[in-house]
Amino acid sequence: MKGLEAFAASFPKLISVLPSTFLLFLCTVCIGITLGLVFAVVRLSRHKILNAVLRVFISFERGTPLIIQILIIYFGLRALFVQGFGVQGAVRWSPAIFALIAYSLNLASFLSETFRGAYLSIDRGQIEAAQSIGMDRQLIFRRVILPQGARIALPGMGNLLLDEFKALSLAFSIGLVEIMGRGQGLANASRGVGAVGIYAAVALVFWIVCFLLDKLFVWIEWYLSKDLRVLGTSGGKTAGK
Amino acid sequence: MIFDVEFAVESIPGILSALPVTLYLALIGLVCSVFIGLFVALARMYRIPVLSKLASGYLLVIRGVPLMVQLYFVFVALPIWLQDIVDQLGWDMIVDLSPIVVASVALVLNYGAYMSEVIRSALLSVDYGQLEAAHSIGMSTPMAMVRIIIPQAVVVALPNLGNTIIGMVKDTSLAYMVMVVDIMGAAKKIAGSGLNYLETYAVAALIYWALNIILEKVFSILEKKANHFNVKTVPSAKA
Repeated sequence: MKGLEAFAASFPKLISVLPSTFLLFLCTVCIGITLGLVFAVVRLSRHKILNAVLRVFISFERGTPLIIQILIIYFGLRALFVQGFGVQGAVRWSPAIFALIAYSLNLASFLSETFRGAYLSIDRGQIEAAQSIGMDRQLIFRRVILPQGARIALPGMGNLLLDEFKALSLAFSIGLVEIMGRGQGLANASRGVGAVGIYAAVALVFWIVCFLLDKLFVWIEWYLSKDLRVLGTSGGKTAGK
Repeated sequence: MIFDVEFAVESIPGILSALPVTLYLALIGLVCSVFIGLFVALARMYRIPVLSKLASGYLLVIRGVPLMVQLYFVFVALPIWLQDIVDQLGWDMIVDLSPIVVASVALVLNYGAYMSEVIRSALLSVDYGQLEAAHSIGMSTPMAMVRIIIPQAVVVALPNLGNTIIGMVKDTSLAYMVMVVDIMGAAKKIAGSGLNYLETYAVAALIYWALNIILEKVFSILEKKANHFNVKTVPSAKA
């Protein structure tokens, strides 16, 4: 069976790109969450112009396929740097840079809506109560809004992060060698022989990582809802599910 | 020149001419995935012996793997497997699948799983007492489903359904990877001669954006209509 051999042979090669894929994912998540918070704050502020600009931008990010965003950033930024700023070296820049920018902007746009929803779901009375005992805005954000908002935003955020990880499979269209890119490279190298096995291996690697990520998010949710389980019913552990 | 506006404007008709392909993919995806989703959801809800295990396995596999990987898998595996079946049957035939069939199969397989979750959560949201009430007046379970449960579930499902459909329209753009000439495929083709990828992809993005805005509007209108229907029935049900 050619497929089975190809499956076994390609598996270690696919695993070998996991560290760089994780690094890209981690950077995307860090930038995405930070930028998402900034977007959410701007969207909640009363700054009319910034608000309008961001609303259009987020609508675009959410309303167009991610693969087009990646391609536009890739071709657009390259053209901008080469022809606009005269940086000839931009042609040789790693696709990872463009992928990181495209994924971060996309993740931030989706997250900002989740964060905004979480903020708005916190009872106004709590903020008024915090003000009445003399807390300033930063303290209110840190002690009142963030702990409750994080708990509300977490399930949605976990799903978005999982989607974003799966979306890394799109970046091979600009030549990034992540799991899918490596798999396609292997399939091309063998001229399609055993391609079924190779793509099955790619699917399995993605599946395992997604499974573990999902478990991690469930655990984080469970961990952060500790104080809700203070009364300690025996079924406490199911609260995170 | 970084962005050739003239070329972008000129490429619009060419790219728009591929819009029916995108809509066709989305429509096939929607109809088939609703059927698969309903089947999977019911198999799981009623714990039908073998089927519910199969359904759970299907969900587990599909949801952990990106659509792109599924698409490539179907692209390489489907012709080989179909050829095997044809050979086994002893037919003298060479399987030659069009790209659009491959893309549709992958899309339906993928969205069937997501649709089943939408349908399941909607069906579960309808109070169990309603089914019991229907039974008590002599309705069979299928009849109660069609007449009582599903109409109410549709209202609950609308927001999730809208999001899933919008996601699906966006995901049809991956079909160009297996040589389907949809909006993306046309954008790539038209750009190919002059390497004006940025312009044609920007035009394609605008078309998808417009499609999504229209879909969002349609669903917000539908939701408003559905809410109106809810408001009217709730007080009378309580009385």
